[in-house]
Amino acid sequence: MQQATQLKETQVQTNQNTIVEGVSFWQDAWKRLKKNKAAMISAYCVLFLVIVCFFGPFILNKFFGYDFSTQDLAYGAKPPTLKHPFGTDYFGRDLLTRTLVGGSISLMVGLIAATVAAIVGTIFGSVSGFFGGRVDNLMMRFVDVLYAVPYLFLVIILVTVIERVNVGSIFDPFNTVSEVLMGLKIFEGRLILLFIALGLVGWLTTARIVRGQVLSIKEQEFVQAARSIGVSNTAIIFRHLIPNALGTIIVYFTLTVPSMIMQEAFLSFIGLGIQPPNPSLGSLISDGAKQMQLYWWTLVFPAIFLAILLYCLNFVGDGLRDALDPKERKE
Amino acid sequence: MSLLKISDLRTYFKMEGNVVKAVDGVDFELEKGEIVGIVGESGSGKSVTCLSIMKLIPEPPGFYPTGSIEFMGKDLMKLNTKQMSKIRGNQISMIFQDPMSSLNPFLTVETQLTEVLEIHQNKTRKEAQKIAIDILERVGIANAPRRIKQFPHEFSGGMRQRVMIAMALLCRPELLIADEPTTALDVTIQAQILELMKDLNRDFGTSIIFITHNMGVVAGMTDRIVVMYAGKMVEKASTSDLFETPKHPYTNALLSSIPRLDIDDQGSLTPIPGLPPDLSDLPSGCSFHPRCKFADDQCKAAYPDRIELSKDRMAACWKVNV
Amino acid sequence: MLFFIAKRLVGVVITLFVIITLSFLIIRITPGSPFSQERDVPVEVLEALKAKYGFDKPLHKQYFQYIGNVVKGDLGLSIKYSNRTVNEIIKISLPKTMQIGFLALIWAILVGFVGGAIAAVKQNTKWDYGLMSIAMCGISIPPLVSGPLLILVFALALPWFPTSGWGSWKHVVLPSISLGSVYAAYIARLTRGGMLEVIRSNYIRTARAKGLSEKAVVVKHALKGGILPVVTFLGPAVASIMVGSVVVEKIFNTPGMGPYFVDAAFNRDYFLLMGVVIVYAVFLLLLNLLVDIAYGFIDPRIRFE
Repeated sequence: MQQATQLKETQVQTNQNTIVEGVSFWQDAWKRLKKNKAAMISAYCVLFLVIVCFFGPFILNKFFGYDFSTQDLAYGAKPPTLKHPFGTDYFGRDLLTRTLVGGSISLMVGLIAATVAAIVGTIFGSVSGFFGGRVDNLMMRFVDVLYAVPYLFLVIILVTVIERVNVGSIFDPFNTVSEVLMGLKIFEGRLILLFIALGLVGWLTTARIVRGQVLSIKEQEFVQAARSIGVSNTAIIFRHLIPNALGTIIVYFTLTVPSMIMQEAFLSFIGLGIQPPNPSLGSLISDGAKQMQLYWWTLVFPAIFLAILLYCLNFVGDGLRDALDPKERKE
Repeated sequence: MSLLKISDLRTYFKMEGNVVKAVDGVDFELEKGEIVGIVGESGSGKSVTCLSIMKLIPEPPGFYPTGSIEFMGKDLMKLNTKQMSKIRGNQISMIFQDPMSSLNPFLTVETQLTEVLEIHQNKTRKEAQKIAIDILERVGIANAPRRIKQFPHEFSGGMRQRVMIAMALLCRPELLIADEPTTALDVTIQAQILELMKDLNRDFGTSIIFITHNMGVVAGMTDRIVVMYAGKMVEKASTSDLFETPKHPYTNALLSSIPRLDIDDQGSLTPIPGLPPDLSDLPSGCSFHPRCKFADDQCKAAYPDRIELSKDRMAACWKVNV
Repeated sequence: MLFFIAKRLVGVVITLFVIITLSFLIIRITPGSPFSQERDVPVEVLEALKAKYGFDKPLHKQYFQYIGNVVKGDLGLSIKYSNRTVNEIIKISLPKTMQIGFLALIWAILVGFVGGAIAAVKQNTKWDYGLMSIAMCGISIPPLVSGPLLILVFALALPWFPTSGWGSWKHVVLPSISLGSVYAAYIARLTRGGMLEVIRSNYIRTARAKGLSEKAVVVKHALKGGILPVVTFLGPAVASIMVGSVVVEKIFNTPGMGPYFVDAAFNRDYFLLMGVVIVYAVFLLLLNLLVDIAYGFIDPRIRFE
């Protein structure tokens, strides 16, 4: 016994010479992310695109008087020039302004829908994983069923239902901001509900993944310990399980953002999303596709803009996954 | 001429701008039919030494700045991949530490055994199958004709290691490299596997390089022993010399950290204080000095020369005569 | 094995039943009606229409009648396309969707798997970086973007393929390229990840130690393990390809199931919408079952229980 203590002391002493600083999971992840050049460059690109999308329309309006909705039929569709780098559309509107406003709407959709999806998915998944057994089985069967129903069907139905819901004035402050910047109330009626509808349909994968994480975390000693001293279930879920699954949740959140943007584009494309004259990248591409024989630029610029936006977002998500995924940490 | 002669072998890895010297100067020879043990803690470079002999180190990040590996008159360092694969599994075989993951879970044992004979000896599937069944029986797998059709997950750990050994011996290699073959197994199974290897060494005349961190295992097995620490060879001696008169403090420490029945030392075991060093950040001078009770300023200042004590007996320590 | 399949088939039927019930309820309870657009229709005509489709009966009766018909294989009458049955519409349109979908899937699997395997074998080389950048582009370019751009380049600028329609093999090329590219990219990434994990594994080291050539190591030992994540992906991929085909069919004006789906959802064409949902669900559930069976064949450690 005495020897054991002695051994410990010597070990502590020798270890002090080569003391390794304790690095937390998040510091470690941040270090890894910083090393990933592609992800960092993409992160800066995303930041740049966000700034340009949200403030660009305001500046274009201030200095050139462009706005996304005022029509000038006499001017009509003109190919790109210095004055209009992306050209103008059939109604004589500056396509750059419309693309940027569309981009900001797409980004908002992505963020809000992904947030809704992350919240619903996290709660559903952690409850299912935490209680296990029958509850888990039932909840996961429910997810299976929803997986087998085409999400398009659910979204269309959801949109028609919530069209009748009045969101009231909760979002007024946000609308004031967005109106100043883009001349458009983003958080109004149908639009905000569309964001939420997308999120309400898109949480399935997050739920499955969080459940898997929770299942493995809850078997670990610190959770057992918490339970043994009588910590309540809610506290265990919110204080132990979710924080430990947070890395995974963040990763899936970032990967959900581009997929939500894609889905909004898809809905706008089939005429279910944003309503004219408001633009979104999807509706711009849809309009462009109809006129591409005559005005190629109305298709090409929004399409490439969307591709670049998705490309950067995907790279950031990938980088975060490499940085946060505990499976990759082993090496 | 010896079967294998390794001179000044160095295996380095480029890691994020640093060079990690996993093996930094190893020399030893192996005669036909001999068993040599390589002993050291994890990270001492013993596994990398053996993977280097097989040229199984991924390049990059690995590379060999110096060294030659003469095997039956050929320098393996000078062979290309194709020439090397004619030797692997044929004249030099290797068995690994973890029999659970070292066999392909998707293929039957038969496929994994016969393919060795098919590539090295141009045997037909039928001939190969017969040889494979014979050798499985030889390594102690009952009901071999039936079991050869099974998948690895249907075998127990000890049985899988027997399959690995059978696979390694299919072509009657001159040299068998065993990288901690018993570490992942239960103690009783360990003894069986060691016994089997000794038998095979005697019956087939196969030379063996036996890697382990367990001094107790090498004692009854090997003719000679190489002790490695932090990528360097610190002591080399015949097994009996090493156990009777260890010269390097590290060897000494290793020996006093294992329980022994033959020496009565009041039953106390002395663990080695501290941890093996980080290879990318080695201490100055002798790498062992932070953990060595004899260390002084000289040890901190410079790496000790190798001192040839007699033929085949070497120790690298300033305090060799202490 | 047979027992496993039988058990799973029972599960498929139950899930399908739940899906039908759920969709039926959602469609009927939520606001909106198939006749709401025809405001000027006289009340008597509306009543007659409702009687024709059985909407005058109580909902639970309609439900049981519908279930009964579905079991018999009758998906009912379309409301918008008033003299056609849902079976007829699906029978004509589904093969077209399937042609495009399967072509897209096949090229996606071939290209994605080969590309991913090459990237993994040549990890951290120009090949790897190049292929993975292309894959990232593929993921970031949905059919919505690639479809119109492909038409612009390969149908308008270079008149190699028709812009739209159906008929010859040429009509299938651009839609399936557009639809499959995202999946090719996903499969390439999954294959690379799976292969890398395998290549780092101990049994690959054993295969090398046996003296196998690098080619034999990859082909004989690594591919089987590397293909597993791709197999798992195929179930959900087929499902989302079917949804993706909605966009592609709209862009290329293909008379597949997609346009009917959108129309039916907008017009509340109850039976047509239900029919499409059922076809979709059957596909997904059966494919998932197929994937599980395939998984069991590839990985001997998995037992059918």
